[in-house]
Amino acid sequence: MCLHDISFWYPGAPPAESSLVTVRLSIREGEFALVCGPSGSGKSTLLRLCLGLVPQFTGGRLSGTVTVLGRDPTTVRPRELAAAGVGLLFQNPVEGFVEERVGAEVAFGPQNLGLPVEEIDRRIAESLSAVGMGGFEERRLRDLSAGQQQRVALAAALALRPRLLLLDEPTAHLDEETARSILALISRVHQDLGATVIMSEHRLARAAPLVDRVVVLAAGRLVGNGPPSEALGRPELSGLGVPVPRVTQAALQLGWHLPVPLSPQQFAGRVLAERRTGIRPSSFAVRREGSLLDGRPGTEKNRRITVAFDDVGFTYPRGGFVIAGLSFTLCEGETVALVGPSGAGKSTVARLALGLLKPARGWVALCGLPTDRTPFGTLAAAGGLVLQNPLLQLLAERVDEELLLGLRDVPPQDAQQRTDALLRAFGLEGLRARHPLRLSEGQRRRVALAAVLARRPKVLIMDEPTLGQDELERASLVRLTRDLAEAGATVLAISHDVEFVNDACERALVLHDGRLVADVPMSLARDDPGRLHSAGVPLAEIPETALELSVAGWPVRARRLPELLAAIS
Amino acid sequence: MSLLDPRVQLAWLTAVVLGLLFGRDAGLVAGTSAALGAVIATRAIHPWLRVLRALVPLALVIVALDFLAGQAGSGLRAAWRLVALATTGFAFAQLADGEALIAALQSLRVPYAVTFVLVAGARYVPATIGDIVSLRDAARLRGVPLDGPLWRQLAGWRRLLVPLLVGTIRRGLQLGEAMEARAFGANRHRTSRIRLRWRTRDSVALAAAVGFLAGVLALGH
Repeated sequence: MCLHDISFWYPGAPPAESSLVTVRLSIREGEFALVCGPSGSGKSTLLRLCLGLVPQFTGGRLSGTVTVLGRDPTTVRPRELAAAGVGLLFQNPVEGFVEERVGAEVAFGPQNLGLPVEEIDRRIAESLSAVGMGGFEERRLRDLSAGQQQRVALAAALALRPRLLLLDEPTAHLDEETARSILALISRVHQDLGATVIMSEHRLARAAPLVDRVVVLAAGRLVGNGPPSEALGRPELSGLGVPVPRVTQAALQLGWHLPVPLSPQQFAGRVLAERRTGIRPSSFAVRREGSLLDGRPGTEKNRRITVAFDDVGFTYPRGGFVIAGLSFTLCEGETVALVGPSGAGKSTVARLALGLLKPARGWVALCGLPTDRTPFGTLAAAGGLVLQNPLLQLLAERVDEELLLGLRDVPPQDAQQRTDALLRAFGLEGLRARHPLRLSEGQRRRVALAAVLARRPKVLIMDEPTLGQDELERASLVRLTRDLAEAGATVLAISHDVEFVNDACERALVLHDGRLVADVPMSLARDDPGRLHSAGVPLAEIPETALELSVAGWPVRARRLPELLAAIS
Repeated sequence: MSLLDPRVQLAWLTAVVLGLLFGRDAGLVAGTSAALGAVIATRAIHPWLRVLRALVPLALVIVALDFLAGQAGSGLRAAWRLVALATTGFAFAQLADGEALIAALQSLRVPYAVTFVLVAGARYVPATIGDIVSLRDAARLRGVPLDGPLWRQLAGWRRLLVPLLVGTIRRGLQLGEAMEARAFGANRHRTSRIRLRWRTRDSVALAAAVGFLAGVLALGH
């Protein structure tokens, strides 16, 4: 794949706002390249360009030359490129599924090539076996977990026998454990097939150690290109919003020479190697015993309870999902993460908490009001929900109207003042007359959040708030979460983003199959990361690094970067 | 694996829909009975009730308009027909397998692109319902009234239309990209994996469908 001075403008974009700016890049056959950068940096545009979807599907203006497998994707149809061996895996596999069942989905590509049925059957079996999904041919796609769906999507791409595989943030919608297994699978597939792989990804601490090369984009420009350690080992990248691994940032701040570590394991290994002569005995036991539901932090006496679940049971009408025996409380001023694998029931719990669903057994109270006996209008005044997809939350024709929409019961002057203040706080003042659906993804997310906050909910529930956000946006969301809690609101974040959970939340509830399996304070990330991990809360990079060091005999307590630096410097 | 050949399922769909549309009262009774039987066979009573609940406001509008025009009976029949047609479509969607249906339509010489659009369109329904639920929840939590008097409900639901439409178009474009990325249309001779087998019971069921349609049309006229 070779890009020569590529610039690209989406339709209607002014000349100064190109999505790619004179990008010059070559990827050799058999390489595994990782493309990273902040949101809106041009990662997806670059990948789609390699298959010709940009500009053939999107429109827009392109300058420069592109060659992919010896063809020009700006003139050859994407379907021809796909037939020639360019495969693309989308961020959310569900949106790319064409068929109903696993076997049919994998067969779709080979059928399009007009291959004989016997060859198609062979490819189905081989591709599903390669991703560990043999025997799933007749299963319905909608009945699979998110991780299994992504495996099927990968198998469907592999069934076309790609020579170049493009992966657009393949773990974005997955929980941490599933994401790790998918990244390991992709690495194995790359080694087994010898295909060229270009992957955009934001979990850099997991992905960078697996690849041959890292390409860094910022505002459409190529700002880094080389072996992972060199490309990411530059201090200025964090300031651009590139999600540089925390351990790499730590190494840079410690003034380490290249190659800088990219993962907690590499970092811990280097610390131990440099201090081999003076290792202290471990005084840091990794406790795994004891009930993880003991001493619920939410029941502190000096805080008022805002959400209470007591022995709650719930089943959807078709019996598809069950919440059973769920009991917990949330208090004012708390920031709580709701974690667990996809399909564990997190969204259902959120809807039960806000009174959008009624419990079949037990009771739920929101700010002291039983949700099954209180008019919904009263409950709606107490709770707010920020959805994963902001498109499903924007209902007005102007940004300022979007905020005012929920303030009908507030005196007009107050409502206007509240709206103005929020528009300023979220940097949306200049966009107040724009249609919300015509804004960028990041701007839409800010409008959706501001619109919910305009009603000053006592309980705010956010569903995957950092999805698609870069480091700078994530940091500002962490600040906002803390500010809201300080002002007395309860914030419940459903999130697969372990760094956000570690930075923003003081407590974590772990759901599994509709049951609460752990309720733990996030301070365990510092005090006892092994216990936090065994409770089902995946560790963020810094606690994981501290645990690695501790297990190896160098006791370190650190939850955030400054603590790690202080502990080892 | 379905009990009947998908071409027979299509024949039954056609017969019931034509019976409901042109069979007058006899067609309404027979078509509704057939559709209800199919719904019971699929054991999808709860989802069907949800479909019905969504149709109630429209059915009431039809009844009210005809009542005001002095044709109450005609309004009732039109509302009944609407509900019966939705029930028929729902039952068919539950029973039919997408890949087999495409193979059936292709065997009837309908171009693959057309058959695919029909089947993919039906598959959009659950995703669109999910979008509507999310939109409704987000709106209700922000105090947008979606219940109460009809005019207030209509004003509230109107707000959901644009984002719903945008989401649907976006999903369609993503599906288009996904298909193109999987070489859709790269070869004019696309392979079909399904080998349709016509059995005796299919012949019997087809004859029954023809008999059903002939019967309700004869009774109706």
